[in-house]
Amino acid sequence: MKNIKLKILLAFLVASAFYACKKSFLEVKPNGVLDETTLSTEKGVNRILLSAYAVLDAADQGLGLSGQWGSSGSNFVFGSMAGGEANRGSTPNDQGPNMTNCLRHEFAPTNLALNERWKVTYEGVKRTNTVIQVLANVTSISDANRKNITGQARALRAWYHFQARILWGKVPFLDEKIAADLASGIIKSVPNDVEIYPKILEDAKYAYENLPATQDAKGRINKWVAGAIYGKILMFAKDFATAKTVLSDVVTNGTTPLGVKFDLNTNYDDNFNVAFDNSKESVFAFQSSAQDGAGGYNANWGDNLNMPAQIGGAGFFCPTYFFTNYFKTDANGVPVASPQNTVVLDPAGTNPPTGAPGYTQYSGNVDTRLDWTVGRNGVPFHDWGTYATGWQRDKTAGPFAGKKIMIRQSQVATAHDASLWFSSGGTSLNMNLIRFSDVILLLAEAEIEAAGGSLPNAFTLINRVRTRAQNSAVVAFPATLGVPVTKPYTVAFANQAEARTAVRLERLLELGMEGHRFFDQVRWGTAISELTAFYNYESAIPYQANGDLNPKPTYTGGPKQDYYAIPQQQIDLSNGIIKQN
Amino acid sequence: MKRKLRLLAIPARYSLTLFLTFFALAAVSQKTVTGKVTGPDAKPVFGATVAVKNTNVATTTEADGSYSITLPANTNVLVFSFVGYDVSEVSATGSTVDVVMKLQTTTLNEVVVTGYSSQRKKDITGAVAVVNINELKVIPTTDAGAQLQGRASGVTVTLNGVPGGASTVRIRGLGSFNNNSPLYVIDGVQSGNISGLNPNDIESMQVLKDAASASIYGVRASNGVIIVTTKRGKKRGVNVTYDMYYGVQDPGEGFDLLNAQEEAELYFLARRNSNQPTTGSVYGNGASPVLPDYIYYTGYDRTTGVPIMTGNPGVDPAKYQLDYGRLGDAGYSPYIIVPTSKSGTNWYNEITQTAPIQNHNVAMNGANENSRFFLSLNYFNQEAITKYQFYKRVTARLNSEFNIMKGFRIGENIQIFGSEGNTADNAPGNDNANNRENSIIAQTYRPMAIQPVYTIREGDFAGTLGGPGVGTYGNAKNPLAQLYRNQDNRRNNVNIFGNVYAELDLFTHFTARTSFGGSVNTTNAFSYPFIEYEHNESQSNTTYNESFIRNHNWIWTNQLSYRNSFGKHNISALAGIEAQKGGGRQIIGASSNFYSYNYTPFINLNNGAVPNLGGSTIFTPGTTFSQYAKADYSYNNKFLISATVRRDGSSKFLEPNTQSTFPAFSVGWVLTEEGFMKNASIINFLKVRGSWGQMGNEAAVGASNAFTTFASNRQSSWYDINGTQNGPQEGFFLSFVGNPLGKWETSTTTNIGFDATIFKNSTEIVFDYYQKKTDDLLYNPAQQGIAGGAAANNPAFFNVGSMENHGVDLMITNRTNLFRDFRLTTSLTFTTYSNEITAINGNQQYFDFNSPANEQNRIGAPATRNFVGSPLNTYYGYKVIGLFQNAADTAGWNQADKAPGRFKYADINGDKKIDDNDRTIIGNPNPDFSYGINLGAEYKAFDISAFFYGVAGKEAFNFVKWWTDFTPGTFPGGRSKNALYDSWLPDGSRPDAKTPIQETSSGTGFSSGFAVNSYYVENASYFRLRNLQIGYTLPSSLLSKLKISKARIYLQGTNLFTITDYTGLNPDIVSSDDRASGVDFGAYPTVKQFLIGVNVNF
Repeated sequence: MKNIKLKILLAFLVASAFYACKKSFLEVKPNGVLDETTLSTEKGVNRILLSAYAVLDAADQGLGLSGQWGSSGSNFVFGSMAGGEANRGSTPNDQGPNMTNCLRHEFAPTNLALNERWKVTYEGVKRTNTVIQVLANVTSISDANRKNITGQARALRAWYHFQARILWGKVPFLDEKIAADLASGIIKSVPNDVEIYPKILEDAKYAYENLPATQDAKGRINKWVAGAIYGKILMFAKDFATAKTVLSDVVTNGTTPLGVKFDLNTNYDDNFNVAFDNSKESVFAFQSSAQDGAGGYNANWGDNLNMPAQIGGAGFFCPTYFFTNYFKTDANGVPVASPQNTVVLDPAGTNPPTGAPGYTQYSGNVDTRLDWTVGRNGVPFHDWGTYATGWQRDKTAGPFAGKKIMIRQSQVATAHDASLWFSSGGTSLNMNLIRFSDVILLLAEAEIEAAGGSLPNAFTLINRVRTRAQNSAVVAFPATLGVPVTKPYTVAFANQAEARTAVRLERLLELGMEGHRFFDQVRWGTAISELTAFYNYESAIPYQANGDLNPKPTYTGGPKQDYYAIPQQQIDLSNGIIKQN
Repeated sequence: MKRKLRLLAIPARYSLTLFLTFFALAAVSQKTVTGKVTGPDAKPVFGATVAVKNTNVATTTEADGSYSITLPANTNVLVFSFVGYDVSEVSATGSTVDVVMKLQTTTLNEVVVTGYSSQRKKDITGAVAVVNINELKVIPTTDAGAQLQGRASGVTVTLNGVPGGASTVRIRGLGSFNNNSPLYVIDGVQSGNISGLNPNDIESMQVLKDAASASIYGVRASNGVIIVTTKRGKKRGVNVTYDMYYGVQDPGEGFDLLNAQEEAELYFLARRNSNQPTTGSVYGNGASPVLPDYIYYTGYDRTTGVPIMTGNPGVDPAKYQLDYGRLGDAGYSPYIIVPTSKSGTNWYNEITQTAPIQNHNVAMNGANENSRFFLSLNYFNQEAITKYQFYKRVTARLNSEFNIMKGFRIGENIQIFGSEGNTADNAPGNDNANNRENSIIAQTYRPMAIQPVYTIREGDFAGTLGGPGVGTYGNAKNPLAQLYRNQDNRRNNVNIFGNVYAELDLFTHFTARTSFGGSVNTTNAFSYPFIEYEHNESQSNTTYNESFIRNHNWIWTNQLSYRNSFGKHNISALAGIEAQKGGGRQIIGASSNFYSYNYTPFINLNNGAVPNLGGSTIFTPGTTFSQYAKADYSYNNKFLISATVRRDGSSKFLEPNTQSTFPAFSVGWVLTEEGFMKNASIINFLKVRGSWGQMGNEAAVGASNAFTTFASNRQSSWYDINGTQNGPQEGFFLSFVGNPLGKWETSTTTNIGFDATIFKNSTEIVFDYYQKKTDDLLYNPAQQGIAGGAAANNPAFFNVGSMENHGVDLMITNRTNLFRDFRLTTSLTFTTYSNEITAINGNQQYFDFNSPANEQNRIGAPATRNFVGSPLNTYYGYKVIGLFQNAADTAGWNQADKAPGRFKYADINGDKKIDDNDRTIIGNPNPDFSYGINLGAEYKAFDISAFFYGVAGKEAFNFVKWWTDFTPGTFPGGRSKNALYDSWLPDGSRPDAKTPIQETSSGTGFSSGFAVNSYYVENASYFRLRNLQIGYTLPSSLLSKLKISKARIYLQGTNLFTITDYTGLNPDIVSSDDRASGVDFGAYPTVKQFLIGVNVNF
């Protein structure tokens, strides 16, 4: 009996000891993930490179960086609304503080959308640095492929830093050497006290000089895409001479990654039609995808709410009167001299009320691009029906709706992600980052600004854009609402100032509602005058009584208004190493 | 035999002598004692335990009270115990010992289960709260955690009102930022929660609060330990009990909101306050508002603001057509007509119901000399007060034990349950979980009253489509439509939990025990959202989602214990090793674009035209390996000393930090055993106690915290580089930067206390004061954005923080026979904790935390900020010092968006300017104290008990006001009576108003609702009659014919009243995160319940 007991006792002591001795019991590797070693191959680095492209839309649901509607990589808040192109929309105060203080240029370090954009922008930077870091471990790779990968990573790193630079002005630059400290788990602070354009340009230049002319995928940056990025940044850095050379090369010789020569599309609207994604005019775009098992989060997420309420959106991002007025053209199809006169492009006659002083229905000519850019009363809204102000969610949004991010109703079945909440947002329509017309107009500007530039060249370039507008298909609408007419300029520019005015106006007409306006205004130094005019004009219109421009904001420039506030959380977390604008 | 022992003992040089001594003792001859045990009424006591003191030798009495036991050599003290009687110790001088047991006067001799062992209450030197199980069980719920509220000192419970929801249990405050859930040990098996346990099966429950009692559970002990023992077979034969209750739940009143006409008046008021014309809205052009006859028809131009009256061609019923099944078809559009709800829809009343709740429990237990068993079957079914929602559960338990041979026992405890429900909290995803902006309760204040439930066709739900003049009607959902359409969604659980064990008695004083236990839990959930046609933000998502999750966990414990006494010295000791491992898998799938949208039997993962692919997750397993030892020594029942040490290893930490050691010591001194106290007439027993010890915690940390990893995430790293529109390529990103240097979080607890019984043993007092310091606190401090979004939003845990808690636990129980047959029992529990963050991360002075309800999305900042030097979770914002009364008032105050009638904020830093720097702590949801009072009385066959629970000095952030108290708010919707009747007026007639002026525009809203300010902070202290029960025991003469030994019938009311100043539905606001609790979006209320119940013993 006692023997049996002892045997039992011994048995379980031995069994217990077995576990005690088996040290590996406490060594558990994480499931479902990889370590750096496994990815240190050419194939692995290319997979990391894909992720560096994936945050070009500045949204990343996997990281919880898709919650702030104003932070989209399309810059619809930071570039368009802030430049006077659009109202916030929806109902009063919806997404209020974040969007409102951007369009009012109130300095708000606690703005959540800015904090989110900051984080996702530097996530992009980190992914490019990770590519370069892991690539250093890879030995069996051809020099050409190493250069190709490095070039793409550096082009993207330039782009992300460029976005940070134009949003916040004073920003830290992180290359793969600084980022290497991330391995310890806690990052050191990097100061934001030096101008980073030189480093951004170094990256972009490397990409332009080292990338191959063609690539194996539509969305992969090649030499010419890199050139467009490089040229655009040069314009912002005001190196007009180099910009002229580079942009001229791109305009003359550039091709898409698959080797199709860059050119303007036949129809202006093809740039905003999902059927023409990656056209010859699409230089650099975020490749949206829908119905791909990602729940819609790869599908043009940032602009998801910017559709009229009537057709299944939340009615954000509504063009202003001040913006639409610029589309008035005269009998010659060129812009009118004083677009902001008392006659506004008034669509409904009821809002503001018919007969109110100064609100006569406009029936003159309009630029052909107006009705591809703005949804207005009485005009067909693609194939969704005839737009009416009643499509809006609330009258404080003004009467118009943005149109460029809308797909056709007939495309919903194939291009819309049905796992999303809204019935028209969240589509595979690409998010344009650089269009070829943008490149042409930048080159025109370089010709105007650079020493040794040519005003006739600029004239030709601007007219190239206008001619396409002239020849584009137009939206048919009743003649009582005017006639769509756009024609090239016929009289050469008399001087630099006149050319400047023309190119700047052309950018508004051609690139309106695409997130460029405010950054252009700051770059040109026209932000104070234009935004003051905008605030004076728009806030006096009755619908603004309950809108975001009441009380009327003021714009006096300086780093606190030309740039957005660096998020307070980032300053706090850096222990004050990062300084506020 | 002797030789073998010697061989065993030689390597352990120092224990050799001891072993030989025991063997020598065991070798001396034994004797057998017989006798009979009777009660004070001279009737035999059946099933009483007779044990030889300080040995593992024991037996139970037969039906006639007789027993026979063989005493090991050199032992002669027998211990007689039985529930309800005092323990008697008798020296067996002869071979016959008869004992008359006394009815229990004190619970001091009660033996309670503590860490890996059991002790008499009077020998305990740590801080242990013993819970009265009979009192606990009266609260009708499946959640034993909810029943614990107010029943144990030192324990703070916040209820979750959702059927099947789990309450939040905290022991002695908050020791960690991320995880403060206590460890549950159920029949020796560790578990992270208790909500699956059938409360009827609980035999005893103890709460181990200080390090001395809990640190033997090292790994997870620092949040406190709750020890649960389930029932076992006790009596000879088969004993059957049946318990049931059936009752109804009264949803009570919802939010106090305006009716349709009042909403219109508020709209006019806001326009007049803003000097705007009241004309041009759906309320007409007159001086006072007139409700339109209809609010919407398809094609109505919402911008005109023209009211739709009867006779309008748009509302011709002949035009009406809505084919629900065709809504998903391209090109199909319905024609709907929505009438005005002229009396105003009370949405809370529309979606709630008086709901039944029922519970049936059958239990059997029995024992003979070689086996015992306990078997129970439980059925619980609770319909929610919200229509179409329910939670039901079937639970079965079998506990059994067999004597394989003398001194060798094998047993098992196992519970299986299956549950099914569709309550909001159980819905997959959490958008409409309890206390969120889209929760079903929140959707009762968010729609306007002017909206009807149905269109002109009853059964077709109406929504927010409508015209301005009042804006649109907002973005709220029709909550009844939500409930109706989601009624077929399910979340089903199957759970198996338990252990098998073997115990071997060795050499009189030793017992070896091995136990292997664990759990397997599977959850299958599916949901299908319906297309909406009626809303401004109509849901168009047609994705069917299904998930299957299996979690498992096993734990293997091997232990050797020893118990002996030498004269006045009593020793008990144990040592053991324990290994555990947990893991699981999850499979999810989704599919959309179904051929038939609303034929639900067709809806599955195979049938959608767009399969949204699936995914699987293999949870990284966590393992621990531990060694532990404990020794208790007492001298003459007077001096008590206890020491514990545990060494834990965890897979979450890498070498050399994998393992850590947690010691604890405690002492007790029974003063009443001293000469100078022996004659104290008032004090019958007094023991002072003190303890010190350390405990560890690793619960906050994920299993892969130490590793830097790359991941593929479809939403995060995939990219459609080929521009295919729907075929993104797989990318990888640096998803997590690990912390390879992480180590155990350690909390050090010092506890002093006393246990006393006074007034002829009628009153027991247990008092404790404690201090608890947590160091190397594991926290994932936000990383800088320049580290990238992955690091910033999902940072690794580092040992960076520290925290302190101190507080008082007090429990007083009094039992009095007031007069013959009238027994009165009163008990009081009293709990305080005071928490202070002493470090977050280096010099970091605070961190903000957005509550799970996501108020930041609406108000622009989290309501809570956690400061060094303050308690975890304080509300941080602008302090309202009143409303601006006039232009002179605003002129002297530099504040954005200032205007008469809006909030005036305190200038905290005195710089004559109101900005971010003037934010300050404006509230604290940690209570000053909480208390439970239980009153019980018995008179002959009647019994009555009342249980009160109260919380004092607690504040809540009533975010409901953001939706209801301001015009303009973000969205039109339900508005409070305050907004219309108590808001500030420009004519100065309400100078004392607290609610600001109602306007058409408030600028950025900074000076009204769009800033975190003290207007939202309310006193959420409350006092509640948690339970009132009246029972009647049927006379046995009536029952004996039915072979029923006892039958009791009772009536009960739960939550009959709550006294509080809080204006929300419920001051007891459940929160799933301690860093941001008490933010109220309209938490599911704790409602009144009325029950009738029966307890029958056969």
